[in-house]
Amino acid sequence: MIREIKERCFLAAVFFSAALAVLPLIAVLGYVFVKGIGALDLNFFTQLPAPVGDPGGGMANAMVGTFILVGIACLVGLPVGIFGGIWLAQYGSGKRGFIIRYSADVLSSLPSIVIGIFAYVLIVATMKRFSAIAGGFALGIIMIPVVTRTTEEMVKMVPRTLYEAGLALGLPEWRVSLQIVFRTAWNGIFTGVILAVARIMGETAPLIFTAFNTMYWNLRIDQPMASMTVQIYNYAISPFSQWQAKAWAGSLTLVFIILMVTLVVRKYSKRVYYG
Amino acid sequence: MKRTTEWIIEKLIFISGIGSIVFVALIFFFLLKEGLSLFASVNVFSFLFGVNWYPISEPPQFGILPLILGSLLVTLGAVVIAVPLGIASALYVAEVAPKWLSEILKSGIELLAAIPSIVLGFIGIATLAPFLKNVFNLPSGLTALAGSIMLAFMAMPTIVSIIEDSINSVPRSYREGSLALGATRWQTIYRVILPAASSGILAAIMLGIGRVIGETMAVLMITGNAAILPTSILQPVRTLTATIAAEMGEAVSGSEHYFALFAIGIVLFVISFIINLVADFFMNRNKKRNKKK
Repeated sequence: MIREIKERCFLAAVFFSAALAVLPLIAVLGYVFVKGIGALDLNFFTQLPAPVGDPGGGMANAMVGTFILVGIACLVGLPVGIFGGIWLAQYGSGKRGFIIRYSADVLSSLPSIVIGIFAYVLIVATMKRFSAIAGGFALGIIMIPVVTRTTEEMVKMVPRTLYEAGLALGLPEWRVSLQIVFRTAWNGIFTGVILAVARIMGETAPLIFTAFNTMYWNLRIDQPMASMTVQIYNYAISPFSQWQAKAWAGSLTLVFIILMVTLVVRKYSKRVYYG
Repeated sequence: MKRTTEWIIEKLIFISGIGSIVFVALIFFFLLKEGLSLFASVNVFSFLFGVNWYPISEPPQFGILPLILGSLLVTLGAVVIAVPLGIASALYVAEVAPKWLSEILKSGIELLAAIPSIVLGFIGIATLAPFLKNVFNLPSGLTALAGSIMLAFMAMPTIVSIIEDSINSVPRSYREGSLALGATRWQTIYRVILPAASSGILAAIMLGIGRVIGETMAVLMITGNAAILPTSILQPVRTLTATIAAEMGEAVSGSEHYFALFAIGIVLFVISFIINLVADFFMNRNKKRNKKK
């Protein structure tokens, strides 16, 4: 009898915990939607930020800025991450592989703000000004461990026989790695890359003192560049309700983009077939 | 000619391979280079255990004890909330829920990880802070507790997914053996599965802590940012990460204040390195255990 009661209590407890764990997601999405939808209009996507008091205004420059920053991050993070993953999968069984894997873990658990101050001292302090390069560089480092680990896993799933067949045809090892193994694993790697991009799009901390912010159009990567997250932050902590409304609209846009990308990729990645 | 290209490309792959090591080493080197300059004028003891953080007063004081305690308090609060909730949710997802529901729950918890911390922080300011202010009758809802609650939910995805993996890696025969002996599901889980998955659970807790202690924007926005020694979880606190985020832009390059922020960076680096070491230890133990049987 008592064990039955315990069993019931247990089932109820775990059920409510799981419900409580997903409740915030629903609450967050609902809240952002309700708060953000009112301030969203076409201007928001096409105009520069407006001063307090002026109606209208948008975040167009910050949206473009975010895409440029992500682009720079990919230039830094993808080659290192993908080649690193390939190397790990093929030669990384020994002690060296262990150390590299461990470094990737350390890198991925480093607070992003620490990576931010690294980019600050390396690039901002050297160039003596805030720039998109510094911000993109910081985001790129954040991508590296994510991309490395997914690439490694995906390359490992490619059947060994494929690799051996390539070598037997007399191809040099790197050609086999790049043209056979990499291509076969590409679908999976792509998923990892997109998820990494979705993650860095939401980063704020490493950007506030590297890419900084600007209220104007800027396409030069050696100048300060606006990003959606930093712009949301500046608006969110401002005392003006008009700016806060813009911050909600920005939050809604950002969350929408990130969730769509994540959902689509997750659905797509289930269809990946190896072998 | 062909040989040379081959050689170059192989080296390129190798250099990228060690990219992670290079970046970790470079980050640590630059943090040390800038951070250690502080200790020419401030001694290590009064930096780590000094109770006053007044970086721009005259003379400046660089004691980070209030910041360390702020980080610890917020983290501790988050762990107290997230760990029981995380273990229970993982159990439900892995052991109890029907397959379709478990898929939905898993996706839901993982999507929570995709929401930018800046958005969570903003929502925290708008909803959680006023709520806490009313419930506890406080002058301001921006407190360590608000930070803990927010961070607990940010740590949940990490904690749940790793615990779920380690529960799933417990051999099926354990479950069957226990159920065959007439044990209920609760008895099976409590006496058999949880002990067998304990290493994985500990690893999950460590990685959750790592996630929480490194989080910056949400805590910057929601913990009230008062660099004082915390005496209660209902007080505003300031964390290590938030201090860097708030002050880096203003600190004059090459000043003591600037070096002090890098010294905080060293502290964060060391903390996350240790957490990772411990998590890795438990993770490997979990793997070995389940391989043997």
